[in-house]
Amino acid sequence: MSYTTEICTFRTSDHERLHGALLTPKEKSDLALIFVHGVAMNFYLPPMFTFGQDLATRGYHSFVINTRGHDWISRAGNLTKFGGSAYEMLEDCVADLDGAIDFLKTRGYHRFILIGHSLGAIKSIIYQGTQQRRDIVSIVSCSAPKQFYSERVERQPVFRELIAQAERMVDEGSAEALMSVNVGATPGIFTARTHLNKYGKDDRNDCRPHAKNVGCPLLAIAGGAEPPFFHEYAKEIVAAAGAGSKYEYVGGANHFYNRHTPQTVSVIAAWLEQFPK
Amino acid sequence: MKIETQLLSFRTSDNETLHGLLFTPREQKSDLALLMVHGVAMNFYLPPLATFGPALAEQGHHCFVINTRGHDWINRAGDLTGFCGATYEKFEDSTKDYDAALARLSQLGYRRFILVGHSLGCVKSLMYQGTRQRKDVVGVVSCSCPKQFYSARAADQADFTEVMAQAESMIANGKGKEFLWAKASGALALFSAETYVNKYGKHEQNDVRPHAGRLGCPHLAIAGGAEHKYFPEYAAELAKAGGASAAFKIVPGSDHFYHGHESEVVEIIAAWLKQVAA
Repeated sequence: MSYTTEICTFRTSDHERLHGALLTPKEKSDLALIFVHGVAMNFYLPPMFTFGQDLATRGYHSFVINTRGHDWISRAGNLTKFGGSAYEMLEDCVADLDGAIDFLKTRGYHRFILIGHSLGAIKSIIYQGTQQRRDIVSIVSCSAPKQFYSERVERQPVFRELIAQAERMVDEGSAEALMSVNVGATPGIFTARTHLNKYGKDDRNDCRPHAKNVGCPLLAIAGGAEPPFFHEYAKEIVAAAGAGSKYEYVGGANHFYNRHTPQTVSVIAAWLEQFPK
Repeated sequence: MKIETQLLSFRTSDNETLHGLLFTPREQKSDLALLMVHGVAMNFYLPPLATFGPALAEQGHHCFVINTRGHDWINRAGDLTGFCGATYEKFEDSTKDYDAALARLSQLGYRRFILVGHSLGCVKSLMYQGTRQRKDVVGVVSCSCPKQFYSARAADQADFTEVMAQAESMIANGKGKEFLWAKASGALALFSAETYVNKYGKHEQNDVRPHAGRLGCPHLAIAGGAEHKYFPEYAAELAKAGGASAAFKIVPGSDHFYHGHESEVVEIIAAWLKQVAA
């Protein structure tokens, strides 16, 4: 094996303890890739862990992390509380990514590239769009979903009613009650509060305005077998991010890049060549 | 660093893909591996097992700290569009999880195994070996096995019989997959009604004292001195059921997760391993 694996713990400013796998090649570097998973995924599931392993083999120091939105419902805080994707708020990603970067700085890394998948891509763009860190030198967005309210009500006939239901639940004091809600074509679980926060009428997860503010080159990838709105959104994000940014298409790949990992990693590796290891 | 860490996956006979961390001493080969199994809604990277594994590996033991399908409360299962986790798992599922983890270790060349469980992971480990009686399982270590079968909980927890009756009623009304909030080891937990009855129902299948009596291998039961009194009591009962090849140890002042007492537990396990797995 050409890299070592270390399971690391990092703490956020609001005292969440999160975990990640730090994959370090033999060659030293001050550049670290930070991999951010999608809804209810985690640091050890594909595609992020697989991408991290393959890029570590190519000499990139890779930190594949949990956000507090890992798994649908997980133990949080002192392990007696409830967290996970069902409970997280979109803005929590700032504390989570701050925690990950602070940890990496203690290990001697000074430059960072955020690589997000699905909701992790949205989080990465929102993070850098709001924080505008000079030490983040690039963002790679893999399959950012166009899932904000005004878009979803056009595509999903029942979505308007689901948001209305969540609003009623919050108004009636049941913000923490769990709702069964589809995410794309698959079932999901959210508290009413989280469902409104992530997908509500304020369109806060439309990351195009944030893409304008990232201040670094951005690569947006989408899979050829994904619905057209993934490609539209990738192109829109790239247009917003401006000069030096790029859209790439991975032929035949689904949302999780199953069986298309080598092609996807090659696309990312080619993009990374502009940043000295 | 004296140990190497690998993140491995393994697949069960019913096509669940599970994960674990294999901690191996760099310069000490062995045919013996410790299989370490978490408690309710925990996972392979949370303490105490994620602490015990590397610490024991530093002492020369090969340790595989795994997820069962009961990891976290609700996780992505199957093809990642299904739901599982502690909220949904059934006791009988754990047999498949253990079979698959041990098969993965066998692929890597290990031939002898010691099951190390924490909390619900003890119940599962004792049930597994008590049922399977595998010759290649040469020891079981249970860390804070909970006395959580129906009659014990009914005697200890005021609202337990009422919550169980609610779960039974939900199943009878075709709502067995719906959520039920209930206490587990003193804290609030989330179960489907079906899982709650499966794990804690009147059948008392999770009373592992009968299993402890037919392991066919040595058993070390550990409990924390600061845990609810039924943990040390149960450790003593499990050791008694195991007869001459079983023992129990109490870690003074320790809570259920062995916070601040990890090194004591590691030393207890390491000393026991010298006796049983030379």
